[in-house]
Amino acid sequence: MIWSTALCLLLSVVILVAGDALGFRYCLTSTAIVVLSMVPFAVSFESRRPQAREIVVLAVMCAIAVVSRVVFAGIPHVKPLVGIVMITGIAFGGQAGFLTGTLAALVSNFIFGQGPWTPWQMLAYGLAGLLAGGLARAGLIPRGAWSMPQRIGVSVLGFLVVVCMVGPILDTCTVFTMVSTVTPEAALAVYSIGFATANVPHAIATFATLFLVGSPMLAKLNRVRVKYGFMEAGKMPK
Amino acid sequence: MLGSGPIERLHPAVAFAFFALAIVFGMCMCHPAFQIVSVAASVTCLLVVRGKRAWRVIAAMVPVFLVVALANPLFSTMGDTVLFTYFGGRAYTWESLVFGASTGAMFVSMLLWFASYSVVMTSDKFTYLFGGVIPGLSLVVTMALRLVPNYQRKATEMVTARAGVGLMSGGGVRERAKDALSLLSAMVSWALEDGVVTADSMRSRAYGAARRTSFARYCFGRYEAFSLGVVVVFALLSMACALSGAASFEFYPTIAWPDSSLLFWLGLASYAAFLLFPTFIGVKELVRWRFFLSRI
Repeated sequence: MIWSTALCLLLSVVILVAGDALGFRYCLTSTAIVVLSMVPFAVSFESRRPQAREIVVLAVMCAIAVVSRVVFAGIPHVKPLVGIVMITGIAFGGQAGFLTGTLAALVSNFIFGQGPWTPWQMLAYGLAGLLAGGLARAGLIPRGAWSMPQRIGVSVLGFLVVVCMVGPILDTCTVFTMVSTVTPEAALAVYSIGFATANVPHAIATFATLFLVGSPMLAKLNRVRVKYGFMEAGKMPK
Repeated sequence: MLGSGPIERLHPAVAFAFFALAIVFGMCMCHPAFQIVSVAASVTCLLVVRGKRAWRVIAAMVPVFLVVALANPLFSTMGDTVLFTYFGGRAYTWESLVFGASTGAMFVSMLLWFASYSVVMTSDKFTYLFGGVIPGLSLVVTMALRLVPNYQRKATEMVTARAGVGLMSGGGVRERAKDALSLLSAMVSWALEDGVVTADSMRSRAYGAARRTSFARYCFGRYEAFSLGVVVVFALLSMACALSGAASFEFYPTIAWPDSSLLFWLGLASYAAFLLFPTFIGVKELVRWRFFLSRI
Protein backbone atom coordinates (compact mmCIF):
# COMPACT_ATOMS: atom_id res chain seq x y z
CA MET A 1 0.00 0.00 0.00
CA ILE A 2 2.76 2.45 0.97
CA TRP A 3 4.90 1.46 -2.00
CA SER A 4 2.07 1.64 -4.47
CA THR A 5 0.99 5.01 -3.07
CA ALA A 6 4.52 6.39 -3.32
CA LEU A 7 4.94 5.01 -6.82
CA CYS A 8 1.62 6.46 -7.97
CA LEU A 9 2.45 9.84 -6.44
CA LEU A 10 5.80 9.82 -8.21
CA LEU A 11 4.18 8.81 -11.50
CA SER A 12 1.59 11.57 -11.09
CA VAL A 13 4.35 14.14 -10.69
CA VAL A 14 6.16 12.74 -13.75
CA ILE A 15 2.97 12.89 -15.81
CA LEU A 16 2.28 16.43 -14.62
CA VAL A 17 5.76 17.63 -15.54
CA ALA A 18 5.90 15.73 -18.83
CA GLY A 19 2.39 16.85 -19.81
CA ASP A 20 3.35 20.43 -19.12
CA ALA A 21 6.64 20.16 -21.00
CA LEU A 22 5.10 18.48 -24.05
CA GLY A 23 2.14 20.85 -24.03
CA PHE A 24 -0.50 18.13 -23.73
CA ARG A 25 -4.05 19.17 -23.08
CA TYR A 26 -5.19 19.02 -19.50
CA CYS A 27 -7.71 16.23 -20.06
CA LEU A 28 -5.02 13.63 -20.66
CA THR A 29 -2.86 14.63 -17.70
CA SER A 30 -5.74 15.02 -15.28
CA THR A 31 -7.45 11.75 -16.26
CA ALA A 32 -4.16 9.87 -15.94
CA ILE A 33 -3.70 11.27 -12.43
CA VAL A 34 -7.29 10.39 -11.50
CA VAL A 35 -6.73 6.80 -12.64
CA LEU A 36 -3.43 6.62 -10.74
CA SER A 37 -5.07 7.89 -7.56
CA MET A 38 -7.27 4.79 -7.46
CA VAL A 39 -4.47 2.30 -8.02
CA PRO A 40 -3.28 2.11 -4.37
CA PHE A 41 -6.78 1.09 -3.25
CA ALA A 42 -6.88 -1.67 -5.85
CA VAL A 43 -3.38 -2.84 -4.91
CA SER A 44 -4.20 -2.91 -1.22
CA PHE A 45 -7.39 -4.88 -1.85
CA GLU A 46 -5.79 -7.40 -4.18
CA SER A 47 -2.59 -7.88 -2.20
CA ARG A 48 -4.39 -9.24 0.85
CA ARG A 49 -6.13 -11.88 -1.27
CA PRO A 50 -9.74 -11.05 -0.35
CA GLN A 51 -11.99 -13.75 1.04
CA ALA A 52 -15.06 -14.96 -0.83
CA ARG A 53 -17.37 -13.18 1.63
CA GLU A 54 -15.73 -9.80 1.14
CA ILE A 55 -15.96 -10.18 -2.63
CA VAL A 56 -19.60 -11.20 -2.51
CA VAL A 57 -20.61 -8.42 -0.12
CA LEU A 58 -18.88 -5.83 -2.33
CA ALA A 59 -20.64 -7.27 -5.39
CA VAL A 60 -24.00 -7.23 -3.61
CA MET A 61 -23.64 -3.62 -2.40
CA CYS A 62 -22.35 -2.56 -5.79
CA ALA A 63 -25.29 -4.23 -7.54
CA ILE A 64 -27.79 -2.63 -5.13
CA ALA A 65 -26.25 0.77 -5.82
CA VAL A 66 -26.37 0.19 -9.59
CA VAL A 67 -29.96 -1.06 -9.48
CA SER A 68 -30.91 2.07 -7.56
CA ARG A 69 -29.49 4.12 -10.43
CA VAL A 70 -31.08 1.94 -13.13
CA VAL A 71 -34.55 1.91 -11.54
CA PHE A 72 -34.74 5.69 -11.51
CA ALA A 73 -32.92 6.20 -14.82
CA GLY A 74 -36.12 7.50 -16.42
CA ILE A 75 -36.53 10.32 -13.91
CA PRO A 76 -33.76 12.90 -14.31
CA HIS A 77 -31.58 13.68 -11.28
CA VAL A 78 -33.05 10.96 -9.05
CA LYS A 79 -29.75 9.20 -8.40
CA PRO A 80 -29.67 7.37 -5.06
CA LEU A 81 -26.31 5.78 -5.90
CA VAL A 82 -24.14 8.07 -3.78
CA GLY A 83 -26.47 7.64 -0.80
CA ILE A 84 -26.26 3.85 -1.02
CA VAL A 85 -22.46 4.01 -1.37
CA MET A 86 -22.27 6.18 1.75
CA ILE A 87 -24.43 3.73 3.69
CA THR A 88 -22.08 0.93 2.62
CA GLY A 89 -19.13 2.95 3.86
CA ILE A 90 -20.83 3.57 7.19
CA ALA A 91 -21.72 -0.10 7.68
CA PHE A 92 -18.64 -1.84 6.30
CA GLY A 93 -15.85 0.73 6.59
CA GLY A 94 -14.04 3.17 4.36
CA GLN A 95 -12.29 0.73 2.05
CA ALA A 96 -15.48 -1.19 1.34
CA GLY A 97 -17.23 2.14 0.74
CA PHE A 98 -14.53 3.31 -1.64
CA LEU A 99 -14.49 0.09 -3.64
CA THR A 100 -18.29 -0.08 -3.78
CA GLY A 101 -18.39 3.49 -5.10
CA THR A 102 -15.73 3.00 -7.77
CA LEU A 103 -17.05 -0.34 -8.96
CA ALA A 104 -20.66 0.84 -8.92
CA ALA A 105 -19.63 3.71 -11.21
CA LEU A 106 -17.77 1.33 -13.52
CA VAL A 107 -20.57 -1.27 -13.60
CA SER A 108 -23.36 1.25 -14.10
CA ASN A 109 -21.43 2.71 -17.03
CA PHE A 110 -21.43 -0.72 -18.68
CA ILE A 111 -25.19 -0.07 -18.82
CA PHE A 112 -25.27 3.69 -19.40
CA GLY A 113 -22.15 3.95 -21.57
CA GLN A 114 -18.48 4.42 -20.78
CA GLY A 115 -16.87 7.76 -21.49
CA PRO A 116 -14.14 10.13 -20.39
CA TRP A 117 -16.26 10.67 -17.28
CA THR A 118 -15.91 7.04 -16.08
CA PRO A 119 -12.64 7.46 -14.07
CA TRP A 120 -13.89 10.73 -12.57
CA GLN A 121 -17.19 9.19 -11.50
CA MET A 122 -15.33 6.22 -10.04
CA LEU A 123 -13.12 8.52 -7.98
CA ALA A 124 -15.96 10.82 -6.90
CA TYR A 125 -18.32 8.05 -5.77
CA GLY A 126 -15.45 6.14 -4.18
CA LEU A 127 -14.38 9.16 -2.14
CA ALA A 128 -17.95 9.62 -0.91
CA GLY A 129 -17.89 6.05 0.42
CA LEU A 130 -14.42 6.49 1.88
CA LEU A 131 -15.41 9.70 3.65
CA ALA A 132 -18.57 8.20 5.11
CA GLY A 133 -16.62 5.17 6.29
CA GLY A 134 -13.92 7.34 7.85
CA LEU A 135 -16.45 9.50 9.68
CA ALA A 136 -18.25 6.40 10.95
CA ARG A 137 -15.01 4.92 12.21
CA ALA A 138 -14.18 8.19 13.97
CA GLY A 139 -17.55 7.86 15.68
CA LEU A 140 -19.05 10.92 14.01
CA ILE A 141 -21.71 8.88 12.22
CA PRO A 142 -23.52 6.31 14.37
CA ARG A 143 -23.45 2.77 12.96
CA GLY A 144 -26.64 1.73 14.75
CA ALA A 145 -30.18 3.03 14.44
CA TRP A 146 -30.38 6.77 13.92
CA SER A 147 -32.50 9.11 16.00
CA MET A 148 -34.36 11.87 14.16
CA PRO A 149 -31.65 14.54 14.66
CA GLN A 150 -29.01 12.05 13.60
CA ARG A 151 -31.02 11.16 10.53
CA ILE A 152 -31.24 14.80 9.57
CA GLY A 153 -27.55 15.30 10.35
CA VAL A 154 -26.35 12.43 8.17
CA SER A 155 -28.69 13.44 5.35
CA VAL A 156 -27.35 17.00 5.45
CA LEU A 157 -23.85 15.56 5.38
CA GLY A 158 -24.80 13.57 2.28
CA PHE A 159 -26.14 16.75 0.70
CA LEU A 160 -22.88 18.57 1.45
CA VAL A 161 -20.72 15.69 0.22
CA VAL A 162 -22.43 15.84 -3.18
CA VAL A 163 -22.43 19.63 -3.43
CA CYS A 164 -18.88 20.14 -2.18
CA MET A 165 -17.05 17.04 -3.38
CA VAL A 166 -18.78 14.63 -5.76
CA GLY A 167 -20.31 17.33 -7.95
CA PRO A 168 -17.19 19.51 -8.23
CA ILE A 169 -15.07 16.44 -9.14
CA LEU A 170 -17.47 15.64 -11.98
CA ASP A 171 -17.48 19.31 -13.03
CA THR A 172 -13.68 19.27 -13.06
CA CYS A 173 -13.92 16.49 -15.64
CA THR A 174 -16.09 18.82 -17.74
CA VAL A 175 -13.63 21.68 -17.30
CA PHE A 176 -10.68 19.60 -18.45
CA THR A 177 -12.36 17.77 -21.32
CA MET A 178 -14.76 20.34 -22.79
CA VAL A 179 -13.27 23.75 -22.06
CA SER A 180 -10.65 24.78 -24.60
CA THR A 181 -9.03 27.64 -22.73
CA VAL A 182 -9.06 26.93 -19.02
CA THR A 183 -9.40 30.36 -17.45
CA PRO A 184 -10.83 31.19 -14.02
CA GLU A 185 -13.97 32.63 -15.64
CA ALA A 186 -14.54 29.55 -17.81
CA ALA A 187 -14.03 27.23 -14.84
CA LEU A 188 -16.35 29.35 -12.71
CA ALA A 189 -19.00 29.21 -15.43
CA VAL A 190 -18.80 25.41 -15.64
CA TYR A 191 -18.88 24.99 -11.86
CA SER A 192 -21.87 27.27 -11.45
CA ILE A 193 -23.82 25.66 -14.29
CA GLY A 194 -22.98 22.25 -12.84
CA PHE A 195 -24.00 23.40 -9.35
CA ALA A 196 -27.38 24.68 -10.45
CA THR A 197 -28.38 22.07 -13.02
CA ALA A 198 -26.85 18.84 -11.75
CA ASN A 199 -25.28 19.01 -8.31
CA VAL A 200 -28.14 20.47 -6.29
CA PRO A 201 -30.73 17.99 -7.66
CA HIS A 202 -28.21 15.19 -7.16
CA ALA A 203 -27.58 16.37 -3.61
CA ILE A 204 -31.31 16.48 -2.89
CA ALA A 205 -31.61 12.90 -4.16
CA THR A 206 -28.76 11.87 -1.86
CA PHE A 207 -30.38 13.69 1.07
CA ALA A 208 -33.67 11.90 0.41
CA THR A 209 -31.95 8.52 0.06
CA LEU A 210 -30.09 8.86 3.34
CA PHE A 211 -33.13 10.28 5.13
CA LEU A 212 -35.60 7.65 3.98
CA VAL A 213 -33.47 4.55 3.44
CA GLY A 214 -30.39 5.16 5.59
CA SER A 215 -31.50 3.91 8.97
CA PRO A 216 -33.53 0.87 7.84
CA MET A 217 -30.84 -0.24 5.43
CA LEU A 218 -28.12 0.19 8.02
CA ALA A 219 -30.15 -2.02 10.36
CA LYS A 220 -30.26 -4.71 7.67
CA LEU A 221 -26.54 -4.49 7.01
CA ASN A 222 -25.74 -4.60 10.71
CA ARG A 223 -28.01 -7.58 11.21
CA VAL A 224 -26.21 -9.54 8.51
CA ARG A 225 -22.84 -8.40 9.79
CA VAL A 226 -23.59 -9.57 13.31
CA LYS A 227 -25.28 -12.75 12.16
CA TYR A 228 -22.39 -13.90 10.01
CA GLY A 229 -19.62 -11.93 11.69
CA PHE A 230 -17.90 -10.56 8.63
CA MET A 231 -16.72 -7.24 7.22
CA GLU A 232 -16.39 -5.89 10.73
CA ALA A 233 -15.08 -2.40 10.36
CA GLY A 234 -12.49 -3.03 13.06
CA LYS A 235 -11.14 -6.03 11.23
CA MET A 236 -10.90 -4.38 7.84
CA PRO A 237 -7.21 -3.80 7.15
CA LYS A 238 -6.20 -0.24 6.52
CA MET B 1 -26.25 -7.94 -34.46
CA LEU B 2 -24.03 -7.31 -31.48
CA GLY B 3 -20.97 -9.38 -30.95
CA SER B 4 -20.85 -10.85 -34.41
CA GLY B 5 -18.87 -8.41 -36.50
CA PRO B 6 -15.19 -8.73 -37.30
CA ILE B 7 -14.27 -5.97 -34.86
CA GLU B 8 -16.20 -7.64 -32.05
CA ARG B 9 -14.34 -10.86 -32.81
CA LEU B 10 -10.95 -9.21 -32.29
CA HIS B 11 -8.92 -10.46 -29.36
CA PRO B 12 -9.71 -8.31 -26.27
CA ALA B 13 -6.06 -7.31 -25.95
CA VAL B 14 -5.98 -6.01 -29.52
CA ALA B 15 -9.30 -4.20 -29.17
CA PHE B 16 -8.38 -2.66 -25.83
CA ALA B 17 -4.94 -1.58 -27.06
CA PHE B 18 -6.51 0.01 -30.11
CA PHE B 19 -9.16 1.99 -28.23
CA ALA B 20 -6.80 3.01 -25.43
CA LEU B 21 -4.24 4.29 -27.95
CA ALA B 22 -6.89 5.95 -30.12
CA ILE B 23 -8.37 7.82 -27.15
CA VAL B 24 -5.06 8.79 -25.53
CA PHE B 25 -3.43 9.86 -28.81
CA GLY B 26 -6.60 11.71 -29.74
CA MET B 27 -6.08 13.84 -26.64
CA CYS B 28 -2.43 14.53 -27.58
CA MET B 29 -2.72 15.52 -31.24
CA CYS B 30 -3.26 19.25 -31.62
CA HIS B 31 -3.02 19.62 -35.39
CA PRO B 32 -6.44 20.05 -37.04
CA ALA B 33 -5.57 17.60 -39.83
CA PHE B 34 -4.88 14.88 -37.26
CA GLN B 35 -8.09 15.73 -35.44
CA ILE B 36 -10.14 15.54 -38.63
CA VAL B 37 -8.66 12.12 -39.32
CA SER B 38 -9.59 11.03 -35.79
CA VAL B 39 -13.19 12.27 -36.13
CA ALA B 40 -13.58 10.64 -39.55
CA ALA B 41 -12.10 7.34 -38.37
CA SER B 42 -14.22 7.26 -35.21
CA VAL B 43 -17.36 7.91 -37.30
CA THR B 44 -16.57 5.11 -39.76
CA CYS B 45 -15.61 2.76 -36.92
CA LEU B 46 -18.93 3.37 -35.17
CA LEU B 47 -20.77 2.88 -38.46
CA VAL B 48 -19.05 -0.47 -38.97
CA VAL B 49 -19.75 -1.53 -35.38
CA ARG B 50 -23.34 -0.35 -35.01
CA GLY B 51 -24.60 0.00 -38.56
CA LYS B 52 -27.44 2.41 -39.24
CA ARG B 53 -28.15 3.00 -35.57
CA ALA B 54 -24.83 4.83 -35.33
CA TRP B 55 -26.28 7.84 -37.16
CA ARG B 56 -28.34 8.85 -34.14
CA VAL B 57 -25.23 8.95 -31.96
CA ILE B 58 -23.29 10.82 -34.63
CA ALA B 59 -26.09 13.37 -35.06
CA ALA B 60 -26.12 13.96 -31.30
CA MET B 61 -22.45 14.97 -31.54
CA VAL B 62 -23.20 18.01 -33.72
CA PRO B 63 -24.70 20.18 -30.94
CA VAL B 64 -21.94 19.05 -28.54
CA PHE B 65 -19.34 20.16 -31.06
CA LEU B 66 -21.09 23.49 -31.63
CA VAL B 67 -21.40 24.26 -27.91
CA VAL B 68 -17.73 23.52 -27.22
CA ALA B 69 -16.58 25.47 -30.30
CA LEU B 70 -18.81 28.53 -29.90
CA ALA B 71 -18.27 28.85 -26.15
CA ASN B 72 -14.49 29.19 -26.27
CA PRO B 73 -14.33 32.76 -27.69
CA LEU B 74 -16.62 33.86 -24.83
CA PHE B 75 -13.90 32.96 -22.34
CA SER B 76 -10.81 33.61 -24.37
CA THR B 77 -10.21 36.84 -26.24
CA MET B 78 -6.80 35.81 -27.51
CA GLY B 79 -6.18 36.10 -31.22
CA ASP B 80 -5.82 39.01 -33.62
CA THR B 81 -8.73 38.55 -36.01
CA VAL B 82 -11.80 40.07 -34.36
CA LEU B 83 -15.05 38.77 -35.83
CA PHE B 84 -17.32 41.11 -33.85
CA THR B 85 -17.47 42.79 -30.48
CA TYR B 86 -20.16 42.59 -27.82
CA PHE B 87 -20.82 43.88 -24.28
CA GLY B 88 -19.27 47.15 -25.35
CA GLY B 89 -15.94 46.07 -26.75
CA ARG B 90 -15.29 42.46 -25.72
CA ALA B 91 -13.84 40.74 -28.78
CA TYR B 92 -15.05 37.49 -30.29
CA THR B 93 -12.03 36.27 -32.20
CA TRP B 94 -11.64 33.90 -35.11
CA GLU B 95 -8.58 32.23 -33.55
CA SER B 96 -10.43 31.40 -30.36
CA LEU B 97 -13.29 30.00 -32.39
CA VAL B 98 -10.92 27.73 -34.32
CA PHE B 99 -9.23 26.64 -31.09
CA GLY B 100 -12.67 25.87 -29.63
CA ALA B 101 -13.53 23.89 -32.75
CA SER B 102 -10.29 21.96 -32.32
CA THR B 103 -11.22 21.06 -28.73
CA GLY B 104 -14.74 20.21 -29.90
CA ALA B 105 -13.39 17.86 -32.56
CA MET B 106 -11.16 16.21 -29.99
CA PHE B 107 -14.01 15.80 -27.52
CA VAL B 108 -16.44 14.49 -30.13
CA SER B 109 -13.97 11.96 -31.50
CA MET B 110 -13.25 10.82 -27.95
CA LEU B 111 -16.98 10.29 -27.30
CA LEU B 112 -17.34 8.41 -30.58
CA TRP B 113 -14.38 6.16 -29.78
CA PHE B 114 -15.97 5.44 -26.42
CA ALA B 115 -19.27 4.65 -28.16
CA SER B 116 -17.52 2.00 -30.27
CA TYR B 117 -15.55 0.83 -27.24
CA SER B 118 -18.77 0.22 -25.30
CA VAL B 119 -20.05 -2.07 -28.05
CA VAL B 120 -16.80 -3.90 -28.73
CA MET B 121 -15.31 -4.20 -25.24
CA THR B 122 -18.22 -5.92 -23.52
CA SER B 123 -17.90 -6.57 -19.81
CA ASP B 124 -16.84 -10.18 -20.31
CA LYS B 125 -13.91 -9.08 -22.46
CA PHE B 126 -13.02 -6.47 -19.85
CA THR B 127 -12.94 -9.04 -17.08
CA TYR B 128 -11.13 -11.51 -19.36
CA LEU B 129 -8.41 -8.96 -19.89
CA PHE B 130 -8.11 -7.75 -16.30
CA GLY B 131 -8.91 -10.99 -14.50
CA GLY B 132 -5.19 -11.70 -14.24
CA VAL B 133 -4.14 -8.27 -12.95
CA ILE B 134 -6.99 -7.54 -10.54
CA PRO B 135 -8.64 -10.94 -9.97
CA GLY B 136 -10.65 -9.90 -6.90
CA LEU B 137 -12.01 -6.67 -8.27
CA SER B 138 -12.82 -8.09 -11.68
CA LEU B 139 -14.72 -10.90 -9.97
CA VAL B 140 -16.69 -8.25 -8.06
CA VAL B 141 -17.50 -6.55 -11.38
CA THR B 142 -18.54 -9.85 -12.98
CA MET B 143 -20.78 -10.76 -10.06
CA ALA B 144 -22.32 -7.29 -9.83
CA LEU B 145 -23.12 -7.34 -13.54
CA ARG B 146 -24.96 -10.60 -13.05
CA LEU B 147 -26.72 -9.43 -9.88
CA VAL B 148 -28.20 -6.27 -11.43
CA PRO B 149 -30.72 -8.05 -13.72
CA ASN B 150 -31.15 -10.72 -11.04
CA TYR B 151 -32.28 -8.09 -8.49
CA GLN B 152 -34.59 -6.45 -10.99
CA ARG B 153 -36.28 -9.81 -11.58
CA LYS B 154 -36.49 -10.49 -7.86
CA ALA B 155 -38.05 -7.08 -7.22
CA THR B 156 -40.76 -7.80 -9.79
CA GLU B 157 -41.43 -11.14 -8.08
CA MET B 158 -41.72 -9.45 -4.70
CA VAL B 159 -44.11 -6.83 -6.04
CA THR B 160 -46.31 -9.56 -7.54
CA ALA B 161 -46.26 -11.57 -4.34
CA ARG B 162 -47.09 -8.56 -2.18
CA ALA B 163 -49.90 -7.53 -4.52
CA GLY B 164 -51.23 -11.09 -4.30
CA VAL B 165 -51.72 -10.87 -0.53
CA GLY B 166 -53.26 -7.42 -0.74
CA LEU B 167 -50.23 -5.31 0.08
CA MET B 168 -48.87 -2.78 -2.42
CA SER B 169 -52.28 -1.16 -2.33
CA GLY B 170 -51.07 1.94 -4.11
CA GLY B 171 -53.02 4.87 -2.73
CA GLY B 172 -51.37 8.10 -1.69
CA VAL B 173 -47.74 9.09 -1.91
CA ARG B 174 -47.20 8.20 1.74
CA GLU B 175 -48.61 4.71 1.28
CA ARG B 176 -46.58 4.08 -1.80
CA ALA B 177 -43.38 5.33 -0.19
CA LYS B 178 -44.03 2.93 2.70
CA ASP B 179 -44.54 0.07 0.25
CA ALA B 180 -41.35 0.97 -1.57
CA LEU B 181 -39.41 1.05 1.71
CA SER B 182 -40.59 -2.37 2.86
CA LEU B 183 -39.84 -3.71 -0.60
CA LEU B 184 -36.36 -2.27 -0.43
CA SER B 185 -35.70 -3.67 3.02
CA ALA B 186 -36.89 -7.13 1.96
CA MET B 187 -34.72 -6.81 -1.12
CA VAL B 188 -31.59 -5.87 0.84
CA SER B 189 -32.07 -8.69 3.36
CA TRP B 190 -32.62 -11.22 0.63
CA ALA B 191 -29.65 -9.95 -1.38
CA LEU B 192 -27.27 -10.18 1.57
CA GLU B 193 -28.49 -13.58 2.74
CA ASP B 194 -28.24 -14.83 -0.81
CA GLY B 195 -24.74 -13.37 -1.00
CA VAL B 196 -23.64 -15.21 2.14
CA VAL B 197 -24.89 -18.48 0.67
CA THR B 198 -22.97 -17.71 -2.51
CA ALA B 199 -19.83 -16.93 -0.54
CA ASP B 200 -20.06 -20.15 1.49
CA SER B 201 -20.63 -22.07 -1.70
CA MET B 202 -17.57 -20.42 -3.24
CA ARG B 203 -15.48 -21.26 -0.22
CA SER B 204 -16.53 -24.89 -0.20
CA ARG B 205 -15.57 -25.04 -3.87
CA ALA B 206 -12.08 -23.79 -3.00
CA TYR B 207 -12.34 -20.20 -4.20
CA GLY B 208 -8.90 -18.62 -4.30
CA ALA B 209 -7.06 -21.94 -4.45
CA ALA B 210 -5.84 -21.40 -7.99
CA ARG B 211 -5.75 -18.84 -10.76
CA ARG B 212 -9.22 -18.15 -12.09
CA THR B 213 -10.12 -18.99 -15.63
CA SER B 214 -12.63 -17.00 -17.66
CA PHE B 215 -15.81 -17.95 -19.43
CA ALA B 216 -14.73 -16.84 -22.87
CA ARG B 217 -11.55 -18.12 -24.37
CA TYR B 218 -9.62 -16.20 -26.94
CA CYS B 219 -6.63 -17.45 -28.78
CA PHE B 220 -3.70 -15.15 -29.34
CA GLY B 221 -2.33 -16.46 -32.60
CA ARG B 222 -0.48 -15.11 -35.59
CA TYR B 223 -3.43 -12.98 -36.81
CA GLU B 224 -3.79 -11.36 -33.38
CA ALA B 225 -0.08 -10.67 -33.14
CA PHE B 226 -0.14 -9.17 -36.62
CA SER B 227 -3.14 -6.93 -35.84
CA LEU B 228 -1.63 -5.76 -32.57
CA GLY B 229 1.62 -5.09 -34.41
CA VAL B 230 -0.11 -3.00 -37.10
CA VAL B 231 -1.95 -0.94 -34.48
CA VAL B 232 1.05 -0.35 -32.23
CA VAL B 233 3.60 0.32 -34.99
CA PHE B 234 1.46 2.85 -36.87
CA ALA B 235 0.39 4.49 -33.63
CA LEU B 236 3.95 4.89 -32.41
CA LEU B 237 5.10 6.10 -35.82
CA SER B 238 2.45 8.82 -35.85
CA MET B 239 3.31 9.78 -32.28
CA ALA B 240 7.02 9.98 -33.12
CA CYS B 241 6.28 12.31 -36.04
CA ALA B 242 4.03 14.45 -33.83
CA LEU B 243 6.61 14.66 -31.05
CA SER B 244 9.32 15.64 -33.54
CA GLY B 245 7.38 18.85 -34.06
CA ALA B 246 6.15 18.09 -37.56
CA ALA B 247 2.54 18.30 -36.43
CA SER B 248 2.75 21.43 -34.30
CA PHE B 249 0.18 24.09 -34.94
CA GLU B 250 -0.10 27.66 -33.71
CA PHE B 251 -3.54 29.08 -32.99
CA TYR B 252 -2.43 32.36 -31.43
CA PRO B 253 -1.93 35.19 -32.14
CA THR B 254 -2.87 34.27 -35.72
CA ILE B 255 -3.43 30.83 -37.16
CA ALA B 256 -0.22 29.62 -38.69
CA TRP B 257 -0.16 26.56 -40.90
CA PRO B 258 3.36 25.23 -40.62
CA ASP B 259 4.92 24.06 -43.88
CA SER B 260 3.85 20.50 -44.44
CA SER B 261 7.06 18.54 -44.35
CA LEU B 262 7.51 14.95 -45.46
CA LEU B 263 7.52 13.98 -41.78
CA PHE B 264 4.11 15.60 -41.36
CA TRP B 265 2.59 13.58 -44.20
CA LEU B 266 4.24 10.41 -42.90
CA GLY B 267 2.77 11.05 -39.45
CA LEU B 268 -0.67 11.81 -40.84
CA ALA B 269 -0.64 8.72 -43.06
CA SER B 270 0.39 6.41 -40.25
CA TYR B 271 -2.17 8.03 -37.92
CA ALA B 272 -4.86 7.32 -40.52
CA ALA B 273 -3.59 3.76 -41.03
CA PHE B 274 -3.69 3.19 -37.28
CA LEU B 275 -7.15 4.67 -36.69
CA LEU B 276 -8.76 3.14 -39.78
CA PHE B 277 -7.57 -0.35 -38.86
CA PRO B 278 -10.92 -1.55 -37.39
CA THR B 279 -12.85 0.12 -40.22
CA PHE B 280 -10.58 -1.67 -42.67
CA ILE B 281 -11.15 -5.13 -41.24
CA GLY B 282 -14.88 -4.41 -40.98
CA VAL B 283 -15.20 -3.25 -44.57
CA LYS B 284 -12.94 -6.04 -45.81
CA GLU B 285 -15.26 -8.61 -44.24
CA LEU B 286 -18.30 -6.88 -45.74
CA VAL B 287 -16.81 -6.85 -49.24
CA ARG B 288 -15.82 -10.48 -48.92
CA TRP B 289 -19.34 -11.41 -47.82
CA ARG B 290 -20.90 -9.57 -50.74
CA PHE B 291 -18.43 -11.21 -53.10
CA PHE B 292 -19.28 -14.71 -51.90
CA LEU B 293 -23.00 -13.92 -52.04
CA SER B 294 -22.64 -12.75 -55.60
CA ARG B 295 -21.12 -16.08 -56.63
CA ILE B 296 -23.97 -18.18 -55.28
